[in-house]
This record gives sequence, C-alpha cells and structure tokens, in this order.
Amino acid sequence: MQTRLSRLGVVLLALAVLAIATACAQQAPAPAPAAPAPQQPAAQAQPPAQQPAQPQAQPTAAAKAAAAPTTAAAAAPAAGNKGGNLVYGLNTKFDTLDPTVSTFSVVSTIGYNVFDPLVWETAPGKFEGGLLESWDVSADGKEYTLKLRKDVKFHDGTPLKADAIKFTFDRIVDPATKSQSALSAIGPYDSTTVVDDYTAKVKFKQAYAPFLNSMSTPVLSPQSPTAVQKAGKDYGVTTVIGTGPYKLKSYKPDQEVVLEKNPDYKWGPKFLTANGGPYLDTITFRIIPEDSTRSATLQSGELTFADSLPAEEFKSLSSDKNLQILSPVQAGSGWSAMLNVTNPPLDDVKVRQALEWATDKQGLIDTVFSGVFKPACSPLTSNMMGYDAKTCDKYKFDPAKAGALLDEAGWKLNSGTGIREKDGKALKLDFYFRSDSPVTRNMATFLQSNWKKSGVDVNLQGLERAGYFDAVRAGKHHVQFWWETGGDPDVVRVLFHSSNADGGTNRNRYKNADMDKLIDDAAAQADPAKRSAIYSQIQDKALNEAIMIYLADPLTIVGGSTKLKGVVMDWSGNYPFFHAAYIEK
Amino acid sequence: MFRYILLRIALALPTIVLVSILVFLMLYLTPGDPASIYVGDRQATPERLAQVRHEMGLDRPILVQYADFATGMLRGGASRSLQTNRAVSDEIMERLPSTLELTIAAFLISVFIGGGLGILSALRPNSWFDTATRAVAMAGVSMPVFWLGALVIFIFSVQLRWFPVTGEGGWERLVMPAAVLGLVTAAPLMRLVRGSMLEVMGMDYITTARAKGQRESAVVLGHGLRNALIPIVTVMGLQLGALLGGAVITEAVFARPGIGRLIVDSILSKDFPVVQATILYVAVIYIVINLVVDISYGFLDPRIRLGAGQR
Repeated sequence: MQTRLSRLGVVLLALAVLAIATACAQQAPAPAPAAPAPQQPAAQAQPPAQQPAQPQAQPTAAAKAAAAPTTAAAAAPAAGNKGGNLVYGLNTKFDTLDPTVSTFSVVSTIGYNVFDPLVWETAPGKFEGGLLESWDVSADGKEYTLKLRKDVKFHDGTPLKADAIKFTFDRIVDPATKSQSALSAIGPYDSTTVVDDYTAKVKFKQAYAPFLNSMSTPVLSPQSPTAVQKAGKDYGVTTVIGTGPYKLKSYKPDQEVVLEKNPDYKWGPKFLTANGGPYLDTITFRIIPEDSTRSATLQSGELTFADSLPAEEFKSLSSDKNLQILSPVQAGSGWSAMLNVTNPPLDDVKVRQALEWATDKQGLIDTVFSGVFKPACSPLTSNMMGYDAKTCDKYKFDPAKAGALLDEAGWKLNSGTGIREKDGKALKLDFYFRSDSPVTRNMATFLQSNWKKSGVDVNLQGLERAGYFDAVRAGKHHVQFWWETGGDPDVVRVLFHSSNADGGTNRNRYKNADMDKLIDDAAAQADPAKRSAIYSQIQDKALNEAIMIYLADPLTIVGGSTKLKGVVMDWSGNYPFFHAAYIEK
Repeated sequence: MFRYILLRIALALPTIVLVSILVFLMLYLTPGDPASIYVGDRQATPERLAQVRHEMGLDRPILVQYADFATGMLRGGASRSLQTNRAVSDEIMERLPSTLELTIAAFLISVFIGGGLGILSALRPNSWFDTATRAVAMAGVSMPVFWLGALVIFIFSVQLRWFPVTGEGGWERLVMPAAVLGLVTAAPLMRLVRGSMLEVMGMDYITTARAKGQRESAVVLGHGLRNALIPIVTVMGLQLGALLGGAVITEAVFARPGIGRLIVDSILSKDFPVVQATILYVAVIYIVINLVVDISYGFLDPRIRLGAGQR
C-alpha cells in the first residue's frame, strides 16, 4: 500500500509540474497524434503447433518458478471446484472467426478452443492423434490416409465424419472462399476422396511433409458442412461450429468473442486433458489493440490473461506479484532484413556480406526491444526443427571486417562525407518499412545509424500499408523487414524459393535452382533427421550468400493472473491452451 | 421555417452525392491495391492476386463499381466489407451505440465545464480564479489525449482500481474515456466562451440592463450569454460533429469499438465499401448538425429570421 501511495504521489507531482509548465508556455495547439494503426500480424504461412511449455517457457524470476504456469500435470484441487470466467486480452481485431479463411493468427488462438486440430504436434516434428485416430503416408509422400475418431460430435450435434474433411479442404482451395492462412498451409493440395465414413485419402501434387504440421493447427480443422451451408456468407461472422472444448456464445466484431464450455467434450488429447476439463465456464476474448492499455488492463486485474505484451514492459510486468509472465521463443523466422539481391549494389555478394558484419544485433535488441529478445543467427528460430546452431559462428558484429569487404568490392570511403563511393556514386540503400508500425520504424532508424558507421547511407522510406505493399512487391527496395511465425521449417520457402520471388513473399528476389531443389527436397522428406540435414544445407547456403540479415528471435510475452491454473503453452510459443485451465477461487 | 428546412435538406442531397463521388475517386487515385493489402505478407502469385481482385469485384469498370456501391447504399448499406465480408450497415450500426454514448457523455462534460468555467472566468477577468481557469484550459489544449488517457488509466485503474480500463457497457466503463475526451474538448470551448462573454459584457446594453435594476443573473444569462452564444453554438456544433465522427485516439487508448477506429482502419486497408459508408455517415452528420445550428440562430437572435425573406 505504501509503495502504491508513493507511486501515486510521484504521478501527482509530475502532473502538477506539467500543469505549471504548460500554463507558463505559449498557447500551443493541441497536438494531433497519428492514429495508432492496428497491427496486422506478420504472415503465418505454416501456423505452428503445440506442446507443453516446460522446456521453452522461462519463468521470469527464480521466485516465480513456483507460480509459473501450471501444466496439465500440475497438482489439482478436488474436481467440481474448478471453473471460472477467463478474460483474455487479444492484441488485434480480425477478419473472420473461421480459421480456414482468416489471415490472422489470433483467429487460431481463439480457434484452438473452438476447434480440434486433426493431429497435435507435441514437440518439433513429433505428432500424436487429435481428431485423427491414425494416419499413413504413402511411400512417395504424395498421399495421406486419414482415419478419424468415431466418437466426435460438432457443436451443432452432427457427428464428425470423413465428408467434413473433404468439404473443408475443398472449400479452402476454392477461390471464392478467399482463404488465406489455410491456403498456404494446405500446400500443393490436389483432392480428397472419402473412402468410408471415417476414412479419407488426401492427395497432393507433390510430396508434402509439412502437411502434418499444417494439420496440427486450427486452419485445417474440419468445419461442419451443414453449419457452413446453412450460414452461407455469415459463417465466421455470426457463427462457427467446431468440435473443440469451448463453443461460440457471442461475437461482437472489433470488441469481444465469448466462448462457453462444451459439456460433451471427451476427445481431448492426453497431454492437455489428463486431469479432465474443460473447466472454465466461459472464455471472453477482449480486443485491446493498444499495447500499453492491454498491459494496464492485465495489471488492473480486469484481464485474467493477455498475449503480445510489449517487450519494454517486460521488466515491470515481471515484478508484479499478482502476475505470472512467460516468454518462450516464438517459433518461425524471427525479425530479419531482406536484401533485394537484384537491386545494385546489393547484387554484389560482398556488399551484402559487409552488411552482415556491420550489423550490431545486440545493440538493436537493446535499443528497440529493451534487451529482451535474443540475437538471431538463422532464418529459423532456435527452437525450430532443423535449426543449425553453427549458423551463429558465421557473422559477428565487426565493422572493420565490413569495411575491408566494402573496400574489396571497390567502395572506398569518402572522408569528406563519411559515405563510401564507387565510380563517383555513393553507397546508398533505400530502406522500406511500414510507418504505421513503431517496431519497424525503430529498427530501421537504428540500422540507419548503425550502417552509417560503415559508410553506408540509408534512405528511410516509411510508408503506410497500401503504399508499402505496392513498393516492395514491385521490388523498389534495397532492404525491407520480415517476421514470420510458424512451426514447420518449410518457412524457408517463403523466404528463398524462386516461386515466391516475383512480387511474392521472397522480397530478397533471390532465385537459385539449387536452393529451390533443396527446399523442395526437404519438404518431400518424411524422415525428420534427413529433413533436418537438408535444412542445415539451406541455412549454410543462405548465410554464405548473405541473402538476408537475421536480427532478433522474438519472444512471445504472455501473462496471466497467478490465480489462473492449468494453462499450457505450445512448444512454438504461439498459443496458450485452456483445455484444463481453471481459476482458483 | 418549414420551407427553409425542406430546402436545406434538398440542397444537402447533391452535397452527399458529391462527397461520395469524391471519396470514391480519391480512393482510386491514391496508391495501394486492396487485394494486395488483403493478401499482405502472404505467399501469393500474381495469378492469386488477380483472383482475389476478381473476388472483390475490383476488376470491373470504375463506373460499375460506383453504381454497385450506390445501389448498396440505397438498399440500406447492403454492400459488404472487402476485409470482413460483413454488411457495411452492420459494421456501422454495431459501433454507433458506443460512439453515441461516448459523444453524449463527453459533450455534456465539455459544455458544463467549458461553458460554466468560461462564464465565471469572464465575470471576474484577471482575478485569481480567472488566471487559474485559464491555466487549466491551457493545460487542457496542450495535453495529448493519448497521454492523458494513459495517465488516467495508470492512476484510476492500475493503482486505485476504481474503474475498469477498457470496453463498453455500464457507466463505470464510460467514466474515464468520457472524462478525458470531455476535458480535452472543454478547454478550447472555455477559452471561446470567456472571450465571447468578455466582449458582450462590455456592451452598452449590459450597462442599460443593469441600470434598469435587473438581477445580475438575468443580466448575465438573459442579456450577456444569449448574445454571446452565436459563435459558441457554432463551435459546439463542430465539436459535436467531430465527436460523432469518432474519437479515434480515445477509442484506441480505451479499446472502445467506435466509428473513429472503423474509419481509420478501413482507410488504411482500403476497404472501399466501408470507407464510402463511413465517410457518408460523417457527411450526413455534419449536414444535419449545421442545419440544427443554423436553425438555432433564429431562436437565439430574432434578427436572423430564417426563410422570412424567401431566400
């Protein structure tokens, strides 16, 4: 209480000083700050999977270890006493509640409660049954035989049968659906055949190993065909029907989603429901886009749980005794700078390598992410299957080395301007970023001054959404940012495959037949060990050619009330599971 | 009078059509392709982009698209958002209660505080009360809403835990955003009321009224305020219009789903049908408020007699 009062005292004092200062000041028009733009999550081509968080979740302080998120295995009080209403702070509004259509990863956050995935990924590359009892992959990797459990019912009472799989997958590839994440996740899908009531055969045009990871997310969860046909265009808007532990009670777009317990739920995976569940009476997802408002709402006790908490508040939130904060590494591809290899002078590999040596990753993390994130080495985050730790030995922050490489490439320092020149032309890079995202603005500004020390002049081009996408799709940039969440190492396809190079996601505009083959081979390889070996080669090649600069592996910062028990974080750090969660009375 | 109102409404219609055409054209002339924004940072071939564009109906001639939108509007906002696929009328109507609630509360606070303090301040110019009030008003116009909002959240929600931070529903969720928005709008109003009242109170007819032996309250309110009101009502009308058009920053800080955020989001994502509908909504609001303000002039000052001259 005393500290609370003294903090209040400081605030009031500050207020008084400010009032006096402003009263003395000349009349100034009220500043009109730019509207805080909602964050659109970075693309999520291969949405991640799930597993208990013990290995990745790092309690913020030793003292907190005891209070750190309970897993399903945690000691549980007498059943019947469990329940409660969870209020969850989401960081962005979204387009539709239907995960097979949506472009937003938060729809999967909600979706894991409303839908069951076909399989669960309990550790990178390790799968167990979800709605599927078992599955088989043909020798050529092109055909999957899926066998469904026979005891599952949709929220509308219809039993789950193989026709729902065919219906859902066919609907995803139908252009009229405008499916987003799911269309990426389903890859080279060809067709589905219903063999019997509980068996479906899924065919692909090419071998497709990432399919298992894709099936472990709600974006490929079966939808009830009757419900979709009945609701028509309103499916995902007024209703969604799944098989999950909670069902939709109400949805006010841009405001809140309320779920209620599905009392019939008996088909949960062991690793989540060994101690029973679901227990929570309701889960309310409140949309609170402002980071500082969301963390204040969590601290005020109004929220029981919140995600995407800002890195700059990590320390203050961690010291709050009423909260448990978790910060697992977010799987996928971390924050990075894509270098347009077709745009001179970045077509010269030496210049790109020089930028790798010139980049002070720790400095960037300290400045932009309050020192919380981890320096990145590879296109894969450190918790991904296939991540190669040797990548960290490739480049270090070394301006002298950067300078030597630029000298070698013919870019000599003009001591008058401090900028390097070749044939009378200054070494100047156009850096495009989203001006409506403070994070990218801060990173770009940091890199501008960082690279300037190596004689590279950076021209910052901050654009709002519309102008930005037009410019970078057309390849006008030298440098632009990337960040990708996802649980399958096939994310490298997004970054390096030539099929994505012309205005697609590979804004390195990098095209290399060897690289394409490696990526395709890896995606076709079902054996995890052999697959990982190919990803090592891909990382090595990408680093040697300095296609892009890996800046920081982000941490997912989530927090909840210490009264909330039984929450499990997935291994990829992206999704919390509430299958057996309850609020201690 | 009745004829005048009818005439004004008739004149408003072409204004609305013109606004809708202008907004439509502006969206087309500024860079950015809605399909490309919709696909965002996702894997998409040019063919896929073309497909999305087709699904959104963006590959049709511009006139057809405008006609489509116009008929949608005439059918009560039946066109659907490109981003969410929901009817634009639903998008607006869902946020209207939140915006109305906040507007009314903030406007009342603004009028009571701004008007009240402004009058009191003008009656005792250069007194300590006047100086203090002016200082507060100065602080009010200088303080950014988002900063004041964050401060209020920190004190009253995180520290004292008196009010919930976010959302809508119930007076306790309205108090903080309404107070913040009300105070910020009260400040300029107070300065205007003070200035306007100071000027009027120096007039000869005030002296006359006092000489007649009228009570001071009647002098101030009946003779002073009534004459000072014309510029004040005009500004109040503009403020009301601005509030009804959505207080983007207040809505964002307190996570309220209002019209303001809808407008900004839809412009940034180039969601044509929603931008069209919301801008049209704002245009209608301003036209109606201007009409009400004009009519009120006639009541405030009988010398402005509307329609009398069959203009």
